[in-house]
Amino acid sequence: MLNYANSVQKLIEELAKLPGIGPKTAQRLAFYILKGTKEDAYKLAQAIIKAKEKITYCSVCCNLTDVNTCHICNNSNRDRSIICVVEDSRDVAALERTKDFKGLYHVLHGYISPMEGIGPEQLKIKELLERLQKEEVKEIVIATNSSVEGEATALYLAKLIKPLGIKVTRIAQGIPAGGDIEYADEVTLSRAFLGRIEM
Amino acid sequence: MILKTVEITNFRNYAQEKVELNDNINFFIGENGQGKTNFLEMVYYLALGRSFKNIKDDEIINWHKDFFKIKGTLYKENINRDFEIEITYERKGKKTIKINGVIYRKLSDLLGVLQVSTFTPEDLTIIKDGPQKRRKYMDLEISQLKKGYYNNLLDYYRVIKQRNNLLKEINFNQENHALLEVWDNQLINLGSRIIKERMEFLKILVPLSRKFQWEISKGQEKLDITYNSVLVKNPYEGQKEIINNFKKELKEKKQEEIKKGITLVGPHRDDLIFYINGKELKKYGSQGQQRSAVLSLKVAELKLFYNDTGDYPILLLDDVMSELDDTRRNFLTNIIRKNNIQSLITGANEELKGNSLAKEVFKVREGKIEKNKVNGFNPIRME
Repeated sequence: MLNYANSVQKLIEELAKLPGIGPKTAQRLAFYILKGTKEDAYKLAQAIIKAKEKITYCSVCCNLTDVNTCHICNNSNRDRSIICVVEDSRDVAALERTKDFKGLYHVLHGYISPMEGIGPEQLKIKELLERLQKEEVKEIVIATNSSVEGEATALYLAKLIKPLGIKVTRIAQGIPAGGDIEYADEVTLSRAFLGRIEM
Repeated sequence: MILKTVEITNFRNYAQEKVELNDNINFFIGENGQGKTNFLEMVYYLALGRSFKNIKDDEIINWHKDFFKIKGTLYKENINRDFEIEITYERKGKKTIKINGVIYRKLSDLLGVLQVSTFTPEDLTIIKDGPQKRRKYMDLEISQLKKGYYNNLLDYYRVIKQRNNLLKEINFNQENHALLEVWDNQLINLGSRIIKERMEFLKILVPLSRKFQWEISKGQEKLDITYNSVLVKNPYEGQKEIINNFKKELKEKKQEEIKKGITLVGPHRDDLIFYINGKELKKYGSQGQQRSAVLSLKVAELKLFYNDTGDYPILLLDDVMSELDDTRRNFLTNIIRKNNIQSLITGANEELKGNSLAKEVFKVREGKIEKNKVNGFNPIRME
């Protein structure tokens, strides 16, 4: 592995630390950067540093943002009476791509997992409850993953929020778009059945 | 279901081998340690994506190699379709499953494509051994028959793990009690579904096994199997009652669970109890009766698969023929012949003498397989 100049070797090592990047990909990326202009490399480095320095949690929804409050919370066209709770900032991006949801978000930054020592205190749940006291919220949509941890988090939130007199809903689960009913397993089917909608 | 060909690369002591199988009895002979069991293990791996031995995938790779690849082509008569399964595993964790050339991400997608039923000397002690073995038996069978059962089971064990962790921590934080309810909810949902599936499985399996035990014993032994669980008070209990019992038991055991830091209620604690003529087989049965019961169970399993899918699974018999006496062996071979069940059977050389099982034998030696015609082939005696 010590066939490269020190600084090249260092670049490869740093890139290889990134998730999903193995030593071979790291090498390819390093050489791509070295082949480009000095300006390109500078832009990349600046982008990384700027993002790291500027990005904070939105003081309202806890999403990652470079302006406080974030552009979704700032948008006066959004319905402020409905909040969608998600595990991760990436989930916000995914939901935004659908353009179906016009309310606000709340990002938990994780899920309940006793195995990893993550309880409600480690998540942005306190922030959510404070928010519910300050704002006039009619509905909470829980969009955590359908893993056992995501489900536990959803159940926990529902138990916490329902007594406040706020409607709590869970996103539907079931047959994926384009999926065959014949090939769906029973759990998926029964969930899809429970979540059926009137036509 | 017929497994037509298999190709093996770097799997156990096989470096590179391709074998064409026949559609009935395939008999594998050879000295110990030559690769007979490894061959069956490979077929099992094609069906279930893992070994029947409790070992890591890394240990399956041929010495000094970085990956193994196994491939099988099969024909399903009931739907008149060919399938090709290919599984590749690279050292340190990357497993790729391809069915008809398409990559599938989840192991559960593989289950049910190639169905196998195994019978090894270890199975002969299923009645004598601990409850874990009987649970594993049920779970494996149902996983092959019921889509979704396996994922349900994985989720269930994940909930147990999380819940046990919480139980150990619970006294440090008052809020944890509220959190426990959340896990209880999932434990009950997933757990009651597992119990329901197991009971349904037994409802079909038990009468079939009883019939075969009756046949083997020539009308002497009446077999019964019950599902033993604190959550099931009678065999006709519906899921609603099971859920209610579950809630009640969890409430009663809560203090004990917190003290021990483990989940004490649920299908992971359940068991099967076997009876012959009303007496518990484990405690009062003879070894012969126990063997008959295992054999009845295995044959019933074949029938159950057939009733469910319209096709027999492939039967893998590892060194088990020599463990059975003449009556039981003939019973089994008659079933195989009568129903045309493709079987892969391993045994020692001398089993071939006199009473030949097959017209073709596969000689296994140092990870190489050689197909031989048997001279003076005489089919198994039908009685």
